[in-house]
Amino acid sequence: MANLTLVQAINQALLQEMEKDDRVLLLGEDIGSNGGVFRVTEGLHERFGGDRVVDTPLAESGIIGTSIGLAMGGLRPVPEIQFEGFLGPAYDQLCTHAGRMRSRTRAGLTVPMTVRVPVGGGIHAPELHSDSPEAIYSHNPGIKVVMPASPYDAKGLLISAIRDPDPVIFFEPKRIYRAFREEVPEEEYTIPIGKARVAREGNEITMVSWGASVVQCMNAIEESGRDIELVDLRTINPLDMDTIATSVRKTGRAIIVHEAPSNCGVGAELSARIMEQCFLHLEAPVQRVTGFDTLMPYYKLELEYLPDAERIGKAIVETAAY
Amino acid sequence: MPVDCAFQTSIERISILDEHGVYDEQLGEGLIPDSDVVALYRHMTMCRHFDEIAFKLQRSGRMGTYPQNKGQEAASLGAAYALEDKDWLVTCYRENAGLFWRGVDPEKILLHWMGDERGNHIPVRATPLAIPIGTQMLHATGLAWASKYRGDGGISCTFFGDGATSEGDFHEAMNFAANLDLPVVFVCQNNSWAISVPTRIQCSAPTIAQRGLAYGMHSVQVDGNDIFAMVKVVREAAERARCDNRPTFIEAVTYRLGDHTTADDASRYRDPEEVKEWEARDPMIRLRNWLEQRDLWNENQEQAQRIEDEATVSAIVKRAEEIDPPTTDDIFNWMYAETPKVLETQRQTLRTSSIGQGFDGT
Amino acid sequence: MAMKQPDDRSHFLLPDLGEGVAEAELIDWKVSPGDAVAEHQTLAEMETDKARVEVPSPWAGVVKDLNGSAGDIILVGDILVTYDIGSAAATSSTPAPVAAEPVTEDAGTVVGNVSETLSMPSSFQRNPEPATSDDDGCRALATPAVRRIAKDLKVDINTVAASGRGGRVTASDVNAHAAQPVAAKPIAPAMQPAADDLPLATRVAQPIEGVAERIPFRGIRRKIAQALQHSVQTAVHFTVVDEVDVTELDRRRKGFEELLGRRLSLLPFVMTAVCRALREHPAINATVDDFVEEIQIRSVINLGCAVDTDHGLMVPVLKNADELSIVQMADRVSEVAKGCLDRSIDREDLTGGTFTVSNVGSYGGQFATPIINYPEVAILAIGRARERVLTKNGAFYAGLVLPLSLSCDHRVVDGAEGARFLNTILRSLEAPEKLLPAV
Repeated sequence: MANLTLVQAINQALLQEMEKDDRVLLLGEDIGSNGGVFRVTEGLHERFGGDRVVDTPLAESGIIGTSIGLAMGGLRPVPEIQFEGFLGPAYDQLCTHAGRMRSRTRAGLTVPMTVRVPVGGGIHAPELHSDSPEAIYSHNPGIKVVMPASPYDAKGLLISAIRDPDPVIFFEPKRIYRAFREEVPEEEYTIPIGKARVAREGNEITMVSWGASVVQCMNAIEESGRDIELVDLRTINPLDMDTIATSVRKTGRAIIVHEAPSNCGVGAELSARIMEQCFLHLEAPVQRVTGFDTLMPYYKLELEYLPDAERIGKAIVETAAY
Repeated sequence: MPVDCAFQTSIERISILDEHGVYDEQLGEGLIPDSDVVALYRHMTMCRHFDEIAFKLQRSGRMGTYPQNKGQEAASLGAAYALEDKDWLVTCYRENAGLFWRGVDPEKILLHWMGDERGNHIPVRATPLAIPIGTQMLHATGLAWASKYRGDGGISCTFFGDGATSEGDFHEAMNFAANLDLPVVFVCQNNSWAISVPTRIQCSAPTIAQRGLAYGMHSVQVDGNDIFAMVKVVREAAERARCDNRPTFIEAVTYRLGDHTTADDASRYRDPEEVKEWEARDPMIRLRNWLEQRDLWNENQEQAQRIEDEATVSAIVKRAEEIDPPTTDDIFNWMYAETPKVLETQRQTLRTSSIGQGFDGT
Repeated sequence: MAMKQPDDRSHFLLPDLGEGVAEAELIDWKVSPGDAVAEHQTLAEMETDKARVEVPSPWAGVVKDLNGSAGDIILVGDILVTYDIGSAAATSSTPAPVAAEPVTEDAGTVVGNVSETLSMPSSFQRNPEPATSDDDGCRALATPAVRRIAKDLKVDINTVAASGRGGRVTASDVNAHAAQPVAAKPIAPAMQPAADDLPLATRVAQPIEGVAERIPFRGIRRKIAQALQHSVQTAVHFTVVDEVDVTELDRRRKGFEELLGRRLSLLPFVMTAVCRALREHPAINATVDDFVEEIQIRSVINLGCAVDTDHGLMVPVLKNADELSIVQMADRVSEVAKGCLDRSIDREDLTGGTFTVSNVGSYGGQFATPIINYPEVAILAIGRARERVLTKNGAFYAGLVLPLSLSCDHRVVDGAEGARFLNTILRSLEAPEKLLPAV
């Protein structure tokens, strides 16, 4: 057991899966000899060679479209898109083909592909390197969307994603790539996709979040001194409503925290489902603490935009007092 | 300073049997055994008849929109003939002749256009019909790569139109294949029209073939209505792919004799003279003449073939129409390998709202 | 798209010829009645928005009738051709075309449409924006969790007294309410009737925004009946009666008639007296809101005047009646009465009343027990004036006597007060010089 950062946990997952299953290959920009711009694929090129860790031309649609072909051909490609802001060109291949292939061919052809994408803000990056598009892809049936908030979860989820017979977008919150360490077992293990985690039990309020916001939530809960239950979603699509609904029926109050803008965000979907499934238990309206319905600002104002412990703390006070 | 030439090349145009019946004995020597030529011709007549009946099915309300393949039989058929069963065919939707030769059940094609996903379930190495233009070539690139990765000796051959060469994904697929040494054969069926838009709006260069040069891949233009030329060119490209892991770009010059689809009316934008000219270049006319000149075919056989084709196609239509209807469950059952709970609830209740489903005691 | 054709192949419906085409023009028939046609044989040449097309027969058969002539527009889904199904048709082995209808396990889900065109129901055609209806201020405020508690305890949450912030009903409010012994509960006021059961008179909690509306006259009887029932069940009626000596008033009335050259009844005089009296007894010019348990003393005097129509009783309202002169009052009464009879009256003129006068005497009768025009708090019925022998200072004289009956809501108006009010009216009418300008 070692204390690993998110980057190291992901690296370990990739290494172990590639050793175990030679159908797994990685492709993307700068992932080979450079080890990836965040060094997530560090050392893999040396270990497995240029046939399994492939530097591709600079073409996101090309990377994903080719990966779809690789997956259709029986391999387990793990392409990397360098930043979530560059998923755009690949949107068509993802939604027009990857998410549809199994159903439209009645399982004649399937796409067991895992797309790794660094996501989210808070690292003082240039523009288009700090967004959160998880809602966009969750809205497209056929694509699973996963976002771990800790090294332990990241390794288990990534292994599950690679082994999943369907396309998975694996979002890696770059803000916590190196922010903290956690004990990660050396041996292989999986965490089921579609299952949330109760990170902290409580009775007053249910707080639901994912990605780097989870840490913000933890800080806010500590500061508030209240008995708040924290649910780390881990999988955005499909949602684990059982865990969430059970929790909200217990507490009667819910706060959802995410970086992505409010309008049509995943928080809206959760609110609707909480309303449907916990209606008669609600003591307060479901509160969402999210990014504003604006562009993600350049990094000078970044911290004003991102939900932080202070904003979450206010929401806690309001919701508790409602 | 004298001007140095940084790079110079040319595009070859391959033709063996032209529309006037002129046959290059040398190039054609040993290319296709006579019995196979007869088989190919018979296959083309069946495909042509299938195409006509499919059109009528749409017109009589038995099938939805259908894109006619008429006039383009030789291009995909020649390619399929030249390839092996382990090679992937990644087509768009005007390659019926090639797909059927490979062993795709023709009724699958009908099912697709009849609005039934089962038409896309194909047990041989051919991808289902592709609707978004220009996106399938990347899949061919990936499939070829998978074959190379496994070392199974297979390659992939992808088909697309002149219109598709305007799409970004075409460029990305060519670029990937060339730079990563992938065994892909790219076949562009330049049939002169992308719905109502002529080729010169898709490409200003004198040939589409020379687009391949920009990627550093071998590029050639061929008479797409000449089955001999198609076989030769694809065969060479397949070898280049298999042995050297190098892709090839082939521009097969042909013509869309029908409308874009049954929802189109080409007479609105095409000169009837042009269509007439190309009707004379029909791949089947020249092939029939070639066969008859060599006593490999005659009028009696033609009649008999006609009757056989009618029966064959009639049986195909029957099979397609007699399939049991899909169920509402089919909307849900094929989305994921394992249906997630939320979706399972939707499937069982056929509702998206949660009221009355026992969630909150309601 | 696949069109569902009849299983017996008796006719062929024109299919959608190309992605959303709704109709086609028949250019030319290629077959004639009586012809035997093969599957796929062209029946007709037609032209759509998109193209000129040939329509083939979907099966082999014998043509019976051709449904149209060159130049006709045929809609998708219309019969194009009928077949003679009695005769021995061609021996094609093609089966009946099976429409690709999804078969479902639930009842009532997707069924294949004959025509792909969706038409918009006429009831959805655009109308001018309706007036926004007022907020329903009558329902309790409570969180979903509190509502569940109420539901479980079988408590109507709208009847629970709210002690929470912002007027909210809290969980303890509900529990306290449920714990009350039944006998101690005050007589709960009847619930407000549903909106479409409203009496034609005003509903206090919801002043109507000024939208002129034609009232449909269906169900008026029903509405009146419901309103009367509600009034009787809610207001606690008592009636005090008296007679007025209107001999002098009547004399003046006739004087006015001559002066003005027009007819004038006693009614406008009585109504004027009522207005004066209401000014002196403002508590009677009131309406009651049982929901919030409130009496609203009104500053304007809007006098309702009952009119009998063949659809039943209607009560048009004269707004600011105290500002009208006798003549104006008379004219206005005629106007609104006419409006009621020919149903041209505006909804506005049927609402907002603060007191009602009912001239039953014009039909007959002396005294009555009129029913209050809820949510007003009193109503005056005027009986038939009749000649009687009266006395004054010990002497007899022939005089005119007008019976008056005043009903009041005893919850709001005391017996003494009601009597005093009636007396005020009496005095005005008996000493008309104060009521009227000198003639």
